[in-house]
Amino acid sequence: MGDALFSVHGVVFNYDRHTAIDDITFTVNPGEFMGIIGPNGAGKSTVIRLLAGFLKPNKGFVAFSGKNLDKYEKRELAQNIATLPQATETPFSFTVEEFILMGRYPYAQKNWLYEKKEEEFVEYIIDTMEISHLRGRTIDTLSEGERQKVFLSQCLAQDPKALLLDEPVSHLDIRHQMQTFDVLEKLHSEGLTIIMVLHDLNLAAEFCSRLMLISKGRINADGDPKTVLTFQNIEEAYDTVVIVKENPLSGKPFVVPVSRKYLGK
Amino acid sequence: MRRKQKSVVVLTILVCLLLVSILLSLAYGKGIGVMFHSFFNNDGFGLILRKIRIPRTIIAFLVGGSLGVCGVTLQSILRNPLAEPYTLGIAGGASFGIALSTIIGFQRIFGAFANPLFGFGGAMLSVAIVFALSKKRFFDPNSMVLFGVVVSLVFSSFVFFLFSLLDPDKMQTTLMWLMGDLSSLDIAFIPMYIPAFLIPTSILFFFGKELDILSLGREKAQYLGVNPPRFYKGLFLLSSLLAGLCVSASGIIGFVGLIVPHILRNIIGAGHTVLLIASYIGGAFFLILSDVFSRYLLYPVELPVGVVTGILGGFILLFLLIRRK
Amino acid sequence: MWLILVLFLIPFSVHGYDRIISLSPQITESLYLIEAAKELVGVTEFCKKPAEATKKQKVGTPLRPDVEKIVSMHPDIVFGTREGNSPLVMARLERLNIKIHYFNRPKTFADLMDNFLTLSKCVGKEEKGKQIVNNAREALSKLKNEKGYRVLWQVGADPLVVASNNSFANDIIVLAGGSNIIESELPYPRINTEEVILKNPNVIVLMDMGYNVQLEMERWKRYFNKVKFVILDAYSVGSPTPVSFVNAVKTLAELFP
Repeated sequence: MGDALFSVHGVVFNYDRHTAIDDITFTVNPGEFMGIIGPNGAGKSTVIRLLAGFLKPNKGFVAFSGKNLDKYEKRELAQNIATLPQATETPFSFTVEEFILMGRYPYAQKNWLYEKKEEEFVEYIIDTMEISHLRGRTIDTLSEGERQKVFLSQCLAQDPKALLLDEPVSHLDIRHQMQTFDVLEKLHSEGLTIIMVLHDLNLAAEFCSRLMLISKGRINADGDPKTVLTFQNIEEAYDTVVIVKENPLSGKPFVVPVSRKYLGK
Repeated sequence: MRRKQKSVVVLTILVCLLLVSILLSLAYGKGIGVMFHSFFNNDGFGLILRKIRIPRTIIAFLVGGSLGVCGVTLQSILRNPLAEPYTLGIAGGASFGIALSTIIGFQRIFGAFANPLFGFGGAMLSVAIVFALSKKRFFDPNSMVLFGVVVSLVFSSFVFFLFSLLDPDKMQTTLMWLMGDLSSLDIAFIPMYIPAFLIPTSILFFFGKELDILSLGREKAQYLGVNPPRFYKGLFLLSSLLAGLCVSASGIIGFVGLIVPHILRNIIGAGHTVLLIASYIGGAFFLILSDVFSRYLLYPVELPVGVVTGILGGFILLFLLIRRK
Repeated sequence: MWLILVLFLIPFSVHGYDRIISLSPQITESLYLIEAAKELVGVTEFCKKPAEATKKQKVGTPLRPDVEKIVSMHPDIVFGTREGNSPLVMARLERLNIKIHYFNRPKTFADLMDNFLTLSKCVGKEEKGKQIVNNAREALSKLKNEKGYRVLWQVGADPLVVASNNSFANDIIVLAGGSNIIESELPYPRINTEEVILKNPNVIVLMDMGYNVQLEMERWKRYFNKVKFVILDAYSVGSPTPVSFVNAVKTLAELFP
């Protein structure tokens, strides 16, 4: 328990009068690759925001490395956790370099400009993410896939211990989805803890080593993909009939929703 | 790194333009030689130079620059390139303060100090109200803008109410002053205004990094290690203070805080650290130049400088918008 | 119904009118001068001269006359101005069959005299009117013309607004033997202070118009050490009658006997 990266204990969170998260408890250990799945409105994004410290629980607590999130300075927290929310938008045309450099803010001195070593770190990120061809472009001229890479690079520039992602691939085509997961898998293999909200159950099963299924603000199931993605669990959470098969290549579960017209008698 | 070199070039050009506009403002119709000669001699033009042109140029510099910086700051926080220094209801509050002082007749007591004093007082009153209202919303920019608009509307209605009670002869000059006026500030103010303007501006210059990040929105800004409510509060307060000072020194001068950041962003890019400084220099240049137009276009008749910036700025903005697509 | 008929008949009675409403301070004061004030039943909030006028019933301000009040007072004539009164309100009054006589704002001394005579004829005090006009003309003819001093007539401060050679005030300056240093198509232009310094006036006329007269005098003393100041009542210049006009000319002329 003491070496858990995140520990969430008895957390309740309300938006005004509506209860979004209703008493959840779980821990995430260093090096996990965890997917949070569940139907729309189940509270997936709320969980990410609670873990990231953007929302404060009404009851219970969220701790990172054994220390309550409240006790962290914002900059200190940003050195440990990088979060990519569903939508990041700015009306201004920053260049890719400028944009990634913002990820160094938690480390920057209170100087007027960023120091040389911060710029060098950005160079390193640009190299590892293989986006040096985008360097001088402004972010408003990038395609969705390119932009996602740049956003991810900004998170990596924070040199975090944990990366939280809220539906990072739902608006990408399959090529860019795969590219993103390749990068994430590589980062995971280097020791980064990744927690992500995913819509696509099959992608979640394929890449995550642990899945947490939530619905109506509660945890329905938590564990490896095979134990979570049973047709009973899914039918209960989503209220939809599905068939669960095994992916012949990976041996991971594979979910096919069943159309109403085949149900009948 | 190409952008950095470009920034240096653009900043150099801006400084040159600024110097040219300052010389134009000081030496118009006389030439630079005469200007330097008169400055050290007590001839007729020397009097005009020292008592009228120099103070006026200083005020145009301070106000123009501050409007530029205010514009950049608010545009970033509000994530809206069309935000203006007066977005938080400052104009309404200032007009109210001045209308009130006109109707009570404070001009008789405070003289030249009445407009600056009550303009600033009114502006700060509206800011205080917006802040008090915003406290519960954790200084969320969108709510602040909404409060600003409402407070401004309420104050404007009060202004109309006061003016309907007032003899039209008496409100005439007040209205003219509100349309932007660099001519009437008493010289006695200048030693006071220089630090009052420069201290908040130079503090704002150091928030380039935070402004970059705040423009990504409250949630992402927090994930990058900025504490948004704290910065929203501080930056709004500083820029409101500056905008209030601008109104108190020169009435309401539109478009400077809008168009200068807009043009410069197109040239040097969105990075706020450089943009803040460029907008200061650019704003000062634009206002000094507009003031030269307002003084000499129909000489000896003077145009309200707010009208010149509006027409000049409006046309430039339209041109840019049309050309973009 | 017969009430309306009676109201229509009243204007044709011998004495002129019995129930007059004035929507202009200038007309109010003129009515007192020609001794027609007894018939004056309503004035505006801004009618402050002579002091007795403030005791009359108020019918709003010149820009916003109170239609209901005016109608309820059953005036047989309303005196208004084209420039000073809201055209919308006046149109509404006309639709309610209120008789209105309009005056144009005087642009010259001659206009002022004409208006004054028309007004006195209207209210059946032609003799009194003529007498006052003749007195005014006589008083002015005694003054020497062309004394050659240069005058700045300041209308507003912050920003500086002055009366140009195309303003009504210019007639006061010229009749008093001076010349206006500001020439412009606009009657009351906002002016560059530099021009004033270059033209170097001998006299600066200040008016009590919502700016601080003492402070403006201090300001001008920074640039001119020999300039003379004249302070005129804004009311008497802004809403002049032949009498107040002549007084203003005399005040100015007395500076350079």
